[in-house]
Amino acid sequence: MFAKDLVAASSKPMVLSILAEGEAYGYQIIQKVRELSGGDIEWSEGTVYPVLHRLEREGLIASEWKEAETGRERKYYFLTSAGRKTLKGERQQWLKVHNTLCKLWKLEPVSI
Amino acid sequence: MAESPQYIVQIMETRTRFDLGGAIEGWRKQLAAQPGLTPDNRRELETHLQDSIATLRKSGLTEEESFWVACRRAGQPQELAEEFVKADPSAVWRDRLFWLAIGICAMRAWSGLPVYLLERLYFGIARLFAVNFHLPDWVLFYVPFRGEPITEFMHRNFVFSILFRWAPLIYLVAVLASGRMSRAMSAVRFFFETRTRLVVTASVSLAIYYSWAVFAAFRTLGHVTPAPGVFPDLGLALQLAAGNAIISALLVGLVAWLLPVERRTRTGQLALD
Repeated sequence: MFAKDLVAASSKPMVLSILAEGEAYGYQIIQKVRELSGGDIEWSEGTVYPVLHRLEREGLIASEWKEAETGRERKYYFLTSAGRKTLKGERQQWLKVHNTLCKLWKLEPVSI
Repeated sequence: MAESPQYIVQIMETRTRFDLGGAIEGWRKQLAAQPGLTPDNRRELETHLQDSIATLRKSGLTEEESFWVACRRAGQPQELAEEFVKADPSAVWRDRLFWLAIGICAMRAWSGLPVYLLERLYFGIARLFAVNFHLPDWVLFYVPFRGEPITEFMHRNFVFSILFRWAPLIYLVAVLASGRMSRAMSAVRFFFETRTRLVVTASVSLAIYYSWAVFAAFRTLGHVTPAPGVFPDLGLALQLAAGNAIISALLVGLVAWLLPVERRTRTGQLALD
């Protein structure tokens, strides 16, 4: 199980990265994170929506209610140009942290 | 009809059958009681719950099991609301202020043209009533609309004023709050989705309203013979209209500023980028 702080800190780059691949709604984001982490990271509604709303207030993402094929309406989030820029910076920072730890643990660092 | 055991079992099954719609409705009510959640938040959480139920149903659970598992995953409404408030503590107050400002706007708008038209209607009915029925004086004495203009009476009498001036507005608000006019509301939603649209709609409506008010003032001043020592003061009328227009503009600005960001549409957002 991951530490709460780590899950909270990584939520921003994760949400931005998922939305960089295309628009998505809250439930879809939770499923995607579960799938990518092999079930290790379990987000709840109380985790994902406050993060999404905070990022929206910061102007990094925006949202729109749209009707899905099932006829049910869902709130889709998508990345703004400011969000795309922030994601670049976040990616560099996280990779730098990753590489520092890799060097400490004698593992192969990745190219930034 | 004889009640066979099979028939009784059927009745019992029908009575105990799980009502998913009713269960979701109950959950929605619990969420609505939480102060930290806006209507938009609640709508979003409900679509999440429905998605969650649909996935669980596909995995072989019954409707009832799916509902309870989905609820458990979502967490207690109170805890859920606390998470939302933690992320944006000012949201609760912003939301309250938003509805307060909307309420004041509605009161101001209502006390303008609609109340004027209602008063004219009541006055017309009262006159018809008094003139055509030739009521004796002692009856007229107890009827609120005798010979005197009903508007004056309405302004003076608190109960009458509440009943006739504000009851239709209160009724409308109650109907809106109970969600019975959601289709009509979504038809006009277009005008309130973005700040720009709200400001344009409000400005155009206010411009029409105040132009009408100034026109009416001109007409009245042209016909009224001033009492000795009283002058028809157009300047004062214009000042009042300007003052009202400024207050209305400030209110519209406040509502636009408080309009939650998630009500912006994609086109609105992209235009801002």
